[in-house]
Amino acid sequence: MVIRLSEFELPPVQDILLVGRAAPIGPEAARRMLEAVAPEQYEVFELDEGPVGAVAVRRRLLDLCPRDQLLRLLLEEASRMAPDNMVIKGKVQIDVIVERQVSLE
Amino acid sequence: MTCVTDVMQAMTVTASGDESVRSAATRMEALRMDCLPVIGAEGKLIGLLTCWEVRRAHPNRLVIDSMTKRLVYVPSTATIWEAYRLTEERETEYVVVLDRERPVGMVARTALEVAVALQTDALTGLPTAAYLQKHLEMLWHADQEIYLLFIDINQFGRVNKRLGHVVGDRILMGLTQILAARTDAEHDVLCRYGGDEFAIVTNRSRLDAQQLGRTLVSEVEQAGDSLGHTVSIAVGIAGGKRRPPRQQDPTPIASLINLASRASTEAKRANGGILVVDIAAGA
Repeated sequence: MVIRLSEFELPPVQDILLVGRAAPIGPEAARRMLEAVAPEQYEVFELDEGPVGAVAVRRRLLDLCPRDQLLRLLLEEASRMAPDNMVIKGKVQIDVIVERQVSLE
Repeated sequence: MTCVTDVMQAMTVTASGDESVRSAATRMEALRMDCLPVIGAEGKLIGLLTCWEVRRAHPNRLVIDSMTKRLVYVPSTATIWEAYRLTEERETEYVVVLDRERPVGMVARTALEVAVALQTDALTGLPTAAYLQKHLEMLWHADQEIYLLFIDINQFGRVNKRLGHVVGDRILMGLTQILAARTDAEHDVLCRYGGDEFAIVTNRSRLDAQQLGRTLVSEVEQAGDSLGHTVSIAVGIAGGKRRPPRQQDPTPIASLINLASRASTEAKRANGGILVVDIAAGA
């Protein structure tokens, strides 16, 4: 008998969760799960078309990037690899690079 | 069987939005049901789980994530024809029946198809007497001025005996085409009432209804070539506006149909082709 113990990460989801339209869980189940393990930290968006039925996004990401832009980028990349019967978690890193010219006079 | 409540199934067995599709599907299979109404936390209807969704969804999914939320409603007073038309217009397999804004049952499109087919004459494709009565009731209660043209084929029994029923059936189908070509769906409803009898319910004016009757008599008389046999019809027209409540006939529709039917018999005897009777006069 082998027992493997490891820490259960909380929340178990990183920054985003893409829920396939035919996945074993749906948007409501994802919403309830996230609300139970990480209250008020995620927002779930349901989609009308495409292989992805819903996207859960960590709320602080939405402070850094407009929702529509973030969703568009995620779906563009996800649709290449995510079949509709999977639930995929992902990490998003947003770096803001500032370039400014200053006068040294 | 003409009202939507005659064919609906009551919502005695339901599913919860919080249960799994697997659990709901097991119940559907055990009870041989194709559709379960889904009840939400507040005891309200929030969707329908049909066998289509059960087939498509992962069994682990919650019912609330798999059900159809787009509900189409029909009042409990609707006829099967109205409900069937609605399923076609809204492309839905089920409609929810409302009674005083409360869901009381649901009807499958397939059940409506069967019910409508039972009320459709197999030979001519026209609605039967049951539809005629329902339509008359609807117009009557809407206080519209209505006329019923009762059309009887003269000597049709002899045609059947002399030429055979197959020829007789062909004549009936040809006659249906002639009558249908002259009726206007906006004003008229054409039905096959009996073996050699047709009826048209119309909300045209008295004069227009009479003119329609005359036109039909004339066209049928001249249609010998297309029908393959010379045929003539007698038309009895009865109708008018609803009388005041205190004089109301307890069975106004039956009386109206009788009046029109007797008028067509009189027209046949008088060899005039058409006879008009007003409701008040015929009382």
